[in-house]
Amino acid sequence: MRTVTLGLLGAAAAVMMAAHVTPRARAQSRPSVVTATSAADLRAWDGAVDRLKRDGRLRVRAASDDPLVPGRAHERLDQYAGGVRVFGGDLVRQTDNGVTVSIFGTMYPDAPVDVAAAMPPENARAIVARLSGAEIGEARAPELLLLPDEAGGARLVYRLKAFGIGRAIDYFIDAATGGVVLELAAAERQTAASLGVGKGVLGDDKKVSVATMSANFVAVDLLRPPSIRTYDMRANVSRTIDFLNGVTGLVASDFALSATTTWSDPVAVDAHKYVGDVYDFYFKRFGRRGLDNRNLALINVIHPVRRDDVFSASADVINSFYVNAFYAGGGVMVYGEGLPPYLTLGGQRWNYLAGALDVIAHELSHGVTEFSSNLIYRNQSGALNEAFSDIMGTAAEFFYQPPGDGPLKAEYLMGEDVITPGGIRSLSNPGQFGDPDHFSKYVTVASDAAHDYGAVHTNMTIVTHAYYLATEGGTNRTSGLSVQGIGAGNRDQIEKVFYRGFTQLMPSNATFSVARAATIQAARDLYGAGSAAERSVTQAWTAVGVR
Amino acid sequence: MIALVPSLAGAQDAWDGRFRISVNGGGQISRDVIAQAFTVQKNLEPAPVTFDVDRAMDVWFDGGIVARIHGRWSVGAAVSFATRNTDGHVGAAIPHPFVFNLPRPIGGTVGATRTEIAVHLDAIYRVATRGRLELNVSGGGSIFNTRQTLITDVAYADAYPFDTATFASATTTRATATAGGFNVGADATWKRWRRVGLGGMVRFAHASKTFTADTGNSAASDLGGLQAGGGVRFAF
Repeated sequence: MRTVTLGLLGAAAAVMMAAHVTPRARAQSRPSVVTATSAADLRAWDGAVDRLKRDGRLRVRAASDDPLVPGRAHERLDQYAGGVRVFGGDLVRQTDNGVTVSIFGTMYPDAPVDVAAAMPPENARAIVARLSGAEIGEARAPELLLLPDEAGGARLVYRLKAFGIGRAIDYFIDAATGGVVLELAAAERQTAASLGVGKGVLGDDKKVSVATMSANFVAVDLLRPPSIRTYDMRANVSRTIDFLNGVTGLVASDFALSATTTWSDPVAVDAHKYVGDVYDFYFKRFGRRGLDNRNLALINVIHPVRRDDVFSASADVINSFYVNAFYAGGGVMVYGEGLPPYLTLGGQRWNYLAGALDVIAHELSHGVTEFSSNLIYRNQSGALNEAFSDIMGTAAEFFYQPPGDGPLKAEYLMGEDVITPGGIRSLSNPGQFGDPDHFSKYVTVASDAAHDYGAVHTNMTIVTHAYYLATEGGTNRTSGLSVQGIGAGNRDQIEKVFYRGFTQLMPSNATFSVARAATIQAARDLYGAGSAAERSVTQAWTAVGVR
Repeated sequence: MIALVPSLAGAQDAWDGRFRISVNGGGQISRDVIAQAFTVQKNLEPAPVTFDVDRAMDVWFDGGIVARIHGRWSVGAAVSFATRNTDGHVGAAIPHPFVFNLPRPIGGTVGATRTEIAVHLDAIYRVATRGRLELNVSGGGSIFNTRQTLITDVAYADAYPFDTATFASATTTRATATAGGFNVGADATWKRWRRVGLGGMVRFAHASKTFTADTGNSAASDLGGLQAGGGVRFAF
């Protein structure tokens, strides 16, 4: 067995001391948060980052040119110790023609760890299979990680996702003992849930990009750069779960299909159409090429269950596959069936969840997060993960739909087209659904599944409300502080600021404070220091109590 | 254009004979524009297509025979041929593949050929004779047979995100129309030699007809035009 320490802070501190500066690595508690944007901080951290890269303790996960600001580039660096990635330890460095502009990140302190796995990865797979009750295919390899703990140490773990009925869990298994160290949600969900034509769930006419196959038309988009495929599971929930766990693959006979160019299944029409629309939105607005910016294939899974079977379905099945939609990772989205029209849940009717553009944009945006900031799905970073999805879901609506109330109109409600009346969350007035609109109302609970991993779907509205205020302006109901918004006519500026902040500047373990710093930096990058965008974003974060 | 012809010197009185033959070359002028408008299905929506050809001036040839029947009166028959190769402008609005009601304009040019053969049957009146110069006026009916290039479809190029498209080519067809009309004209002949003279003429010949392409779309057009030119005259 070999023991190493996580010595990043020590290395950085040495550089800082040599430079006689004090980088703003705020030691709220361990880990330390890096928000370096001033010249002094950047000098210190830039040198430290380069040195740690040479040492192999920071490794480049991704590097890309900035599609929005010429000359800018972004580098994502993961923290490693003893050759093992440190979960949640990463930095994002932005450069302008080689000169560092900002560094954001989370760095973990020294801690002795044993990097020699006590058990082979096959054992971890077996443990997860036993815990989840799901068969885990060979294609899903456990990832060896160092998982920092709150005491400043770190534990060697295997990480593996498993999907089961009612549960989609990201397991962290102690590599020595085989015990469960941490469970996170593997499906970041909306809690609560050649060309063809067809009507969508709401009865509107749509075109869909399809392909011909054996005298049929199948829901395979051949016109867009990524492969976009929609699979009809035909109410085979066990096969759906097997697919999500990598036990079985989907084949051509699983494609949603139509015998003519006129498609009769509104769920297939909307899922296939809206995923293409969201891809287009990201491309046209931000220059992004799909979830991973490399045109990762997008896979829709529809009809995992049959609506009329809801009376015989377990609560877990209902929560997973009826009143839910989720991003399952790797470009896979699953859309719930909703409920029969004569049934309500919480006083609301639940239509097919594929019928809402904002729901699909929300789920796909989890994929964007997965391949960019990779915000850890718990507590503040988890809330930021969810917030980004709601923000992009709303932005996609405004990109395609006219503003207004009612079906197929853009506004600041989430899921309102299929969950009626009202949807499930509001960006403009979170309190309408009992959600917080100010950091003073942040809900602190355990970060386990029973508590929504730290109330991520609740606390997210603090962030989404800041986005709303930065765009539209207004007064925060709790603080009473007013914000001069950028205005609806310039909403694209705030969309780009949040996109940039969340996908290019933010580290995986970001806090709300880091999000504030990253988005303000993004506003400066895009529109200049002192710009209206920077003013609106700064005022908005202040109004919601995030400093 | 003036056609070159053999020349012969001869006595003035040969022009008093019964028949004359004329051969002319020149141009046919028309202010007509061939305006074709139709729709084709593109991306599951109708795509409006237009094709405009400005006729301007055609190259024109004419040959005729005149028989004197009494005094100053004659009858004549002439065959004229006009042709023109020019570029017609194609315009279209191609529907977006992903979105209804989001047409993308395209435009370009396509070569268009028009050939027109007309037979003119006229009554001719000799208005005046002064020395070797003779002036005749004529009028009568005309029958036109015209072939005109039309288009039946357009091809375009586009690429993701498909917000613009560019014209690539058009599928063409030759539509034929036959119609009856009228003509009026004047001819001045300089009786230079015994049997051969030189002359110039103008004629306005006109008819209207609609061309119909194979696919059913059509375009109305004037036939004929103002024909002007010169050539040789033979008397015998």
